[in-house]
Amino acid sequence: MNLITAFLQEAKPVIELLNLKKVEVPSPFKLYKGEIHNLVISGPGGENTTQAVSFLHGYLPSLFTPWLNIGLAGHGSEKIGNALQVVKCIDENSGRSTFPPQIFTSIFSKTILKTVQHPSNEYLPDHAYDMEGFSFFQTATRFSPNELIQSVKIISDNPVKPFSQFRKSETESLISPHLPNLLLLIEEMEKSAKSLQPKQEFIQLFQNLISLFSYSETQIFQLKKHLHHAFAIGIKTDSILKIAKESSDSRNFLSTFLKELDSKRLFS
Amino acid sequence: MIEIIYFEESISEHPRTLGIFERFPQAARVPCSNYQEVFNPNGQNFRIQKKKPSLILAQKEGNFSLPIPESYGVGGKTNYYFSHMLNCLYDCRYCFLQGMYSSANYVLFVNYEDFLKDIVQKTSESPEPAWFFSGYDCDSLALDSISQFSSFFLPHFSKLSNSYLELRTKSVNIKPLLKSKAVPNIITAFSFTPQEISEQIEKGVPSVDSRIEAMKKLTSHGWPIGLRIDPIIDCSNFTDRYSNLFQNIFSNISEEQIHSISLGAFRMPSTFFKKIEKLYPEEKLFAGPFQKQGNSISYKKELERERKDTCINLLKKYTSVQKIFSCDIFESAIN
Ligand code: SF4
Repeated sequence: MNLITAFLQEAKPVIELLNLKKVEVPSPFKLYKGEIHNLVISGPGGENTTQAVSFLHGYLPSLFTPWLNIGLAGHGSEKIGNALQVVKCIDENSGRSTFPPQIFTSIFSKTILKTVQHPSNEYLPDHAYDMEGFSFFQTATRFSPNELIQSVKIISDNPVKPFSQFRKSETESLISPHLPNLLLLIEEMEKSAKSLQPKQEFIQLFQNLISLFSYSETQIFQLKKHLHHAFAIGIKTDSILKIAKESSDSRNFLSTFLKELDSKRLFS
Repeated sequence: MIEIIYFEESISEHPRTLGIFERFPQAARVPCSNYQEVFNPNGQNFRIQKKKPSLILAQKEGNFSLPIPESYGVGGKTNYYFSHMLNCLYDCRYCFLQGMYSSANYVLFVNYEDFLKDIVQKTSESPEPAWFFSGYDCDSLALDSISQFSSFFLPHFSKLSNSYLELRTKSVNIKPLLKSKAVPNIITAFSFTPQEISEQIEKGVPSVDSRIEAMKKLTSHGWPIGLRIDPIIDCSNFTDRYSNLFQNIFSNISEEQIHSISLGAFRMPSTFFKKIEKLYPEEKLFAGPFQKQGNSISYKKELERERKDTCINLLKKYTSVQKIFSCDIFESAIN
């Protein structure tokens, strides 16, 4: 699970919550790591966000990793301290919009987020404002399914108390009350991501079989397909390994494996 | 339970949009300029989206009803399909919608009047009765409580005597039909696979028995019904399972009230199949004896013919061949 905040003050409560430790990396971005969570601090603005997300993906590449952006935002009609999940993000610069699919049972109310170039004291009702959101979505969707990329904004300023009156020292106390709900969202995102990942048993068997012979690219594709079918049909790992061990090479193995599959394909 | 309703800004004041807003007061409303902004982006995962689809309200622009190949019909010469909705409440593993769309969100086109205008025009231009099939890109009745589709279209079709409407469904949501007088040119067509198959690959679909019960209620109110044995799924104990299914249906429903029975083999464009297989690599169904034929994935030709002929022979015990239609790419032994 990858988390991203713009500032250290926003990250602090999350670092404590998830018991993350600072890792020294050759990068301008600060990285914190736990057993399954990674948090990067991007600095303000779209450009920094794009680079921080790309850095984290490059540093720890993974196919179905959830990404969560947590940060402060202004809002045209919400109270200071409210936490909202982004359901639409508009890039003020290009006019483009993105709609992070909402599949989690998170209790956060939803908001439209407008990503702007500079902090501003102008607010539209029903809109949140930040400087990172759109770049976060644009970049993270290159690495993970859109559903696993979410953003929660905690309101730090509004027309009653505009950005010019906001003090950085308030950050932690704005975010901390939402940690239990953020944790629920994080757990749900992780659960969904896990459901998309191949089973450990599959990965182990695949690696085992790969180590036995040398395969061409096409054969690796065939092997994966055969393995998926074998798991679907319920052919035991031991039987597959037995076929492999009795085979002289990859070609011989794949063809015997296929024969075994063909004899068991009938849907029950 | 719908938690998010996306809506095209241009239809924010449409009475059907407002009605849906009213029925889901808790749902967050999210404006968009065109539904495709939400529905079509790359990088969506149909499988996880299916866990909690949102509703998208949109306006259909043109192509309200489109011709379908003659071989897919049930005896009519002029056949169209139309889709007031995209995507479905249920989750059948063989459903081609998973391969066709990148999103599992429900799209509802609220401009029913435009669909109707097109249907009326096509009906008036057709020398023979024109058939309109609903339920191609969705289930016709499963989300009727949201769409109110039947309460709009039924009264209109009852006046269009030169046309037929097929409501294809696996739903038992027949209340709207039972509330109105039976209309002879509206056929509610129920799709079936044997119960043991349905349990495994038709998630959320009402049981075979409850669908038969729904058919029974409809026929007792005078509504004509159709049977759609589509897709035929090759399986162990094939003959026994399909024989039991037909026996169950025909011991509850009088043959005279069945308008038509169509049989369709499993078939899917190979691009869709590949996409679905990737979404569900561990699915038993996809490990079946399929092969690529042209741009389609289907059972091997001989197997497909054999299974279909078995079904036809089993059905012949209960009905005449005139009522049986074969709806797919290979010829079979109806005659
Ligand atoms: S009922 Fe029909 S439309 Fe719905 S999921 Fe099943 S096959 Fe698809």
